[in-house]
Amino acid sequence: MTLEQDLIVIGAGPAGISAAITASQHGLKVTLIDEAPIAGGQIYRATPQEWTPNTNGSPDQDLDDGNSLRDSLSKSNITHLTNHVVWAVAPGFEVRAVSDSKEIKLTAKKLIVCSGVTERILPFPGWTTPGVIGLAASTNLLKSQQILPSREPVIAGSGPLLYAVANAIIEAGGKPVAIADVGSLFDWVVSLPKLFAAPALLIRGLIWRARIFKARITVLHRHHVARVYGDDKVESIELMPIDANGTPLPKKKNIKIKSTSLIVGHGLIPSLEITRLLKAKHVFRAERGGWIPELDAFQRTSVSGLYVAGDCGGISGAKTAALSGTIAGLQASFDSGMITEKIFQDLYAPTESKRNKAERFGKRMGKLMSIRSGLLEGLTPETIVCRCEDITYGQIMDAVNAGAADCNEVKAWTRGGMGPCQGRTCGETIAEIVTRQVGDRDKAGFFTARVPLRPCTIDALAPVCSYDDIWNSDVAKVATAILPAENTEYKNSKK
Amino acid sequence: MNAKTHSLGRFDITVVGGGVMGCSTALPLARAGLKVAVFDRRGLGLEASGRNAGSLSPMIKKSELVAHAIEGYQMWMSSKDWLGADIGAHTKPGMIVAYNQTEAEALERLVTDRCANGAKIELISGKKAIEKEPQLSSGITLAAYSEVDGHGESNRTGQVFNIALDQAGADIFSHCDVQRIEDKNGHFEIHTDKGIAYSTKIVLAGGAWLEGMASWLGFSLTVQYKVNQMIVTERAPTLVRTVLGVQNGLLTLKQATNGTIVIGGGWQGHGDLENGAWHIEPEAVVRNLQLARYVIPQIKDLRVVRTWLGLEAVLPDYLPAVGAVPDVEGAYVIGCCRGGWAIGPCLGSLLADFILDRELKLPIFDPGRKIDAKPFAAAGSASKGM
Ligand SMILES: Cc1cc2nc3c(=O)[nH]c(=O)nc-3n(C[C@H](O)[C@H](O)[C@H](O)COP(=O)(O)OP(=O)(O)OC[C@H]3O[C@@H](n4cnc5c(N)ncnc54)[C@H](O)[C@@H]3O)c2cc1C
Ligand SMILES: Cc1cc2nc3c(=O)[nH]c(=O)nc-3n(C[C@H](O)[C@H](O)[C@H](O)COP(=O)(O)OP(=O)(O)OC[C@H]3O[C@@H](n4cnc5c(N)ncnc54)[C@H](O)[C@@H]3O)c2cc1C
Repeated sequence: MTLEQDLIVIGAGPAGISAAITASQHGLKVTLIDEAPIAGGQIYRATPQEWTPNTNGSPDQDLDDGNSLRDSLSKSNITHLTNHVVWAVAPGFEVRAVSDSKEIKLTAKKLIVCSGVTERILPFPGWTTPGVIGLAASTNLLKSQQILPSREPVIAGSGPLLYAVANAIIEAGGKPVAIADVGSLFDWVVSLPKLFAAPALLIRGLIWRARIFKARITVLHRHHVARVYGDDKVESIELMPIDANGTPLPKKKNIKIKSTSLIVGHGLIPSLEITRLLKAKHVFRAERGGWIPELDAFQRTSVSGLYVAGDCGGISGAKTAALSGTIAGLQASFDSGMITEKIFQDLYAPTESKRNKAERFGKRMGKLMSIRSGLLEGLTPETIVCRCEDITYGQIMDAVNAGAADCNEVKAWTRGGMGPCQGRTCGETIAEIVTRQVGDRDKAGFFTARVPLRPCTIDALAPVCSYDDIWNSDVAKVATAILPAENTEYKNSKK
Repeated sequence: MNAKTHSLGRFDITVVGGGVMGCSTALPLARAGLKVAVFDRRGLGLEASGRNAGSLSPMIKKSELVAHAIEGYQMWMSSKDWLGADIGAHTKPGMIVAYNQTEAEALERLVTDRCANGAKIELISGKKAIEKEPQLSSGITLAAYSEVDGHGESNRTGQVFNIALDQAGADIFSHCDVQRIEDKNGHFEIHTDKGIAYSTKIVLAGGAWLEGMASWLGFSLTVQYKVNQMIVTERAPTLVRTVLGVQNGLLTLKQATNGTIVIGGGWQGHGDLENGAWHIEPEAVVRNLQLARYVIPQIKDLRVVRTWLGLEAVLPDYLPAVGAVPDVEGAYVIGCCRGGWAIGPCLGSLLADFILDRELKLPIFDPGRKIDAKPFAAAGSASKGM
């Protein structure tokens, strides 16, 4: 089955919904596709209040915002495919997705990628012990499934999610044993002027801090996990003091805390598999989450017809995501000849100024979550770095010391990043390790993006068909049979 | 540092292209005491040599290459001895199955031809095939079976050669793009984006990019390439014991030591010399998987975790180029071999012997030969390939 569209939008978070609605309003035939069962993306299914600008700071605001977006979506003529995992994207554009064992093909001249973020978790000795979970994962448990990940966890890492999760656990009747924040109080304070760009959020953040204080929860600033103890479950957690770069301070005392659960996360990184597959240009901006696609003021990438909106274009929060989505939808409509330059300008100008304002706050938040390379200095040679393939820090260092000079070389030599998660978890760590050797992230590069974007069963991707059907397919005709090679045409390298 | 004038050093011999061909030529030369440089614009073994399916399959290679393939197979099997590292090569039986009469006849011709050239392959019935490989689907008309087959972890090619070349005293210039070579009558100037190297002799080993390299020296070589894609599943308990193929082409399937199932067969993705092999053809992934599950139905519940692709180069007569560049004293070429990962170590050591004026154990393949475009396209001889 092939569906032909004017525009495909991948990701139904605030960015994707806004993009799809805008483009649809201007007459484009749009398909919006997401693997989640309902629209809304991370923020409107997860907790995330601290980031969501609203007037009264009430927690229901997110729900309201989410519902109103969903409402506009359902009133539009957008084809909204839920529960569809995009497994491949090809230039031109072709989008392939699977759902309930059915595989579909969509094509469109324009593609807007709004695939959001992935959580960054930097390893430490014991991080693969059962009982250690991600901040983002626990947010999802708390909000969308109303499950308390643990009553008395230690919460560690960086960024606003630390306090959001702590707060949610207190609200649900639990009591975190301690919070270990990689950042210092000072980091937050210097952010204040920018955070004042969104006073409601700032107030919400302060309320949370007050509640955590009142609950007498130990908050350790500039601390990182030194080690998790326990074999098949977490028994205790050792925390260590670090400097501004995350480097351990061995002269200061570590603290060991008994707890059966550790919730940890080191910020969010843009999900770039799709823009990488399509060979868009990327630039490294630590304060925006790391690698981001190079975008102009109209959300266009370096690839014609390809736009990016939302956090996958650089961490900047939900409000910016929605506004950048609107701009991408507007630009795609203009590029498809659906609106005049005048209309475009009239609609673009006010949205742009709102986006720029929202961005100031979002970027500050992004900065609080940016990676600190010293955090990897507590690793021991036995610490697992790639958990899919069980590759240790020692193995990665051996490869780097023997001459592996970029991420893909380390991947080929060690298999690190070759497992089911495609390096989504270890990619950042390996890149940081290589960077220490070669100088900067540009030289270290990043793992080549590969499909499927998510592991998919053979059954879902390739339904049973007859032997003859396989041979009669167009792609079989251009394949190089491994045995009867001579009969097949090779491309001549002459242009 | 000015790349136009900065000297990268003087060498006895410079190898341009750090795939299996270039590296296995460079290693014996460095060990023979020559001052050797290896240039690659990426890292060693990151193109075809690190992305291939790792099949060794010596018995089904093109007749002229069976002996070389058996030698290459033995070299990979004993890589610890000569390379200093185990590439994870394992012996496994090889099997090619035919599902109808036409395929069966072609298979029979293939086996007869290869056996006449020293290969040890037997034809077995469908029933016998299933005894040897119980997960095979029914309906097999005929199968070819060989005890001597296997595969290795070709992704580690760059790693093992990097370490070995370094120990042998060769200079490795990775991430160094060679832009042209000037023949200065008596020595060569190798111009790169990082500076100039000076070398008495030169070996061109650029894989799919060999044609352009040859043209630097005024040598015209018609290199053709394919953009082959591969698929790998998550780890699974033992399901498949052989290196498996279908006679009518388009499927190679085997289970790696770590339990993952590696599926290929020459399905085409997209790429070119400028961008390399860069994106898969989703439909070809789907068809390749349909064929795979047709042959081994049990794999249907496994998850596909990754696909990748690479450029595979050949010459129009499907034989490699290994030898001297005609009319350019001191210049050599190596590459364009189907099944080139398996055969590479053998061809590299032959070229090194040739350069060192040693006796050759097996014939090499004159790059200056007259290359006939389609010598095997005669009707009905489809199975003479590889
Ligand atoms: C746990 C968590 C908590 C957060 N909390 C906050 C917060 O409090 N405040 C805040 O402002 N921001 C928060 N963020 C950041 C948040 O993601 C963004 O601010 C906001 O949701 C960005 O919107 P978006 O549209 O760019 O992406 P998202 O809302 O993340 O939407 C991306 C969508 O793309 C879909 N998708 C991605 N890849 C595929 C694929 N291959 N196939 C199908 N679908 C795909 C995903 O299912 C997802 O629904 C949080 C992020 C996380 C992970
Ligand atoms: C998907 C796939 C599956 C395959 N399966 C098998 C198999 O199962 N068994 C088997 O035996 N063979 C297989 N092959 C074939 C085998 O991989 C190749 O024949 C072999 O690796 C070729 O080696 P090479 O050194 O000639 O080329 P390459 O490995 O491509 O090396 C050429 C090198 O030259 C470098 N280079 C190019 N231009 C420049 C420049 N200007 N400056 C500096 N460096 C440059 C490149 O970066 C590259 O590293 C497969 C190939 C592919 C693509």
